[in-house]
Amino acid sequence: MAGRGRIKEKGSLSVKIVSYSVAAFFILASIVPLFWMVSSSMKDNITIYKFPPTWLPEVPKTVNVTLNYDGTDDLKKEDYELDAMEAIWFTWKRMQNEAVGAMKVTGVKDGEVVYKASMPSYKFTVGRSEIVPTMIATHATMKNKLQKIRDNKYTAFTFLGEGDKYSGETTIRPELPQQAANALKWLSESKVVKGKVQTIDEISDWKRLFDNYIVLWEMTGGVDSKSGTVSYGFPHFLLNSVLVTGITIILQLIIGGTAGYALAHLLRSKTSGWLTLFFVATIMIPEIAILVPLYLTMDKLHLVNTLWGIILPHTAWGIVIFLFKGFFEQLPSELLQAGRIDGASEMKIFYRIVVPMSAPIFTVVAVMTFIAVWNEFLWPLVVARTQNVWTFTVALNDFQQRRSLGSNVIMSSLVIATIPLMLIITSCQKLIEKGVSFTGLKG
Amino acid sequence: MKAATQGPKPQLHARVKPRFKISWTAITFLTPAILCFVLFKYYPLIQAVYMSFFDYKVINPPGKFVWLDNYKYLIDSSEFWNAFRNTFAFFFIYFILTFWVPIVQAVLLNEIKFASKTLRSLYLLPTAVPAVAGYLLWKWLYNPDYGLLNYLLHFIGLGPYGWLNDPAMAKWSIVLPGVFATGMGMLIYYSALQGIPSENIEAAKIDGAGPWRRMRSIVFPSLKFVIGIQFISFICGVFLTFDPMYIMTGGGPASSTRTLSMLVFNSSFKEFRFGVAGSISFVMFVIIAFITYLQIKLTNKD
Repeated sequence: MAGRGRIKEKGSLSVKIVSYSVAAFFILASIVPLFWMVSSSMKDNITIYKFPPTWLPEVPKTVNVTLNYDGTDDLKKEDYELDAMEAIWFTWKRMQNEAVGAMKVTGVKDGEVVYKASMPSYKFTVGRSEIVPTMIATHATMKNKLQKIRDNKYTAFTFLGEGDKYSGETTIRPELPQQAANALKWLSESKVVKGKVQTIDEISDWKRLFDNYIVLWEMTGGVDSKSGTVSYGFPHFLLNSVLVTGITIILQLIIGGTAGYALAHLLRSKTSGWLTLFFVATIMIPEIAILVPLYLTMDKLHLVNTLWGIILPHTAWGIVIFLFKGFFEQLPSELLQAGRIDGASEMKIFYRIVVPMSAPIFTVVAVMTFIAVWNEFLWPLVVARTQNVWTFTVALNDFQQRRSLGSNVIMSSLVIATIPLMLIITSCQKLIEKGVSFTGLKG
Repeated sequence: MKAATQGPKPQLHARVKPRFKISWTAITFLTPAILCFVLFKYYPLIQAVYMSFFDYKVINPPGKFVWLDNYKYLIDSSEFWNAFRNTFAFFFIYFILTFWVPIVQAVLLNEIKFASKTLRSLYLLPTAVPAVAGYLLWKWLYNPDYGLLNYLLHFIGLGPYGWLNDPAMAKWSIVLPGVFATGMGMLIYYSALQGIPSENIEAAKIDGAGPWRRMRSIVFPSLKFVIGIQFISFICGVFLTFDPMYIMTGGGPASSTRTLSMLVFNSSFKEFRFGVAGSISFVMFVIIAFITYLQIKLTNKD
């Protein structure tokens, strides 16, 4: 500064320091929760409930076990499957307080691979209470559960018979990482598992960090076996939100755009003034004040529990008409006159001349509407009373009350819900700034 | 318009004239909007007032006419007054914790020339989390057993706190996330600051006003109008807030976060007393309409 020959003002340094530190404080305070959300969404079921909490999720470990069946009597496919399930489920049950990402078991007999079985942690989480509710490990308990495991596809099992040659290691490494060592201890002490441990190892598997997202995708959908009701998955709710937001935007642009244009250019100024008041005065009517009668109106129109029921009331936003009218009034009227002289109908003038010139207002309204409708909670909560029409906001509120969903899965649902809005906000920052200066100053 | 009336061809008048008749185009353009507004705003509003005079039954509407009994019931109801007090308590807490934040942010950001666009987008980050998701995230941060906040506070020797589970703290805990989600408000003030003519600031500089002094005597006063407008929409916004209470506490603990808007929701969709809900709605509408009326007056004054 001094180099440019400016005189340094008294106080300019302190202003700088305060400005930068205030900005740093608020930005840090807004990034930390976001970071925490993403980090929590990748934690396994154990670390998420640890205190003191850890900042970063642990990379889950995949435990690879090779079981050797040399010297056993002729085992059938079912026997191998039972043995593999016991090796996986019972071992995992013993280690349920550790962060295991997946378990893979390979069965080997006489140097040939007999079967392969594997299960990722999210399947274990889903099936745990059903398959291994207690620590009891006997053949009888597992035989009972085998059909359930197959039905729910918890554990992948492929029987190869006498297939490929086994070409892995044949001895156990002397120094094992913790989880592999624990698994080895249990497996070699176990009296149920027939195969002898030939090798065991663990590798870090970063792909398992995203297991909560898979749980979210699989767990929240499907048919409830007890009551027979169909429940819907998170993608369904997201799609509902996308539809509601998209159709709302289109309707608002059409209805608000045409009405705003008519108010600005097609009416006598007195009529236009009264009608504008008719539209804009509705800003005074708060949503909550007409919540009940609006619901009853929707009931009469048979629109409760439909997406249209969520969408239609959004077509009556005073602020949208106000914005459109304000923008159209500023269009040079010479252009419209030129159109009229050329003999174009008012419709044609609107579609051929006005709309192409008004991209800024259409995009600003679209972005502002997107943000408002995507975030909306109260109205969908009231009017969408069955699951098939829930928007994601209603679904999120329901998730937090479900016992079966851990905080880590809920956090992953928050991350997914954030992505679309984050994309819009970061890519349309300019439009938002424009929109804010339109609306913020005028109410 | 001038060009049209001075046009050389006489038939032009014929073309200009329809403009001042209500044309079919105007009717087709306006009908959908008018229909929507009547159906989804005015009719429900009238219905709300109408309902409030009945012991409203959904099965066999409108039920028994009870004249002002619903309103009398409200005046005698401790639940209503509790919600009323809570609503005002929330108003004060929101005011103390959040209202001034975007103003300070904008005024100070205005002093930072370097990378100010990047900083603005960083300020917008919390807005990028959908509101409902944000409340759930904060609920997780508040978790008394596993939450990040209690963990961080123990480093400076505070806590552990019950946050949302503590009747004395629940209101403050609901408002706190709002402190860090003021990006939009900040943009409003910031865009208003861009409108200050630079001559004013230069003049003050020449008069020997330092940066703090300039902030106090020129920058801040120029925001007065925007602050006034924002204050009124702030009151309306706080008055109608529903989502954070419903999601984070559901009105508890011990009814300490049950506001008027929650009362409307509960009495209609949980207790099915639509008449009572209508009367609370109407009371809220009158208050909001009064505030908005003030807002319009204030806007037009300038």
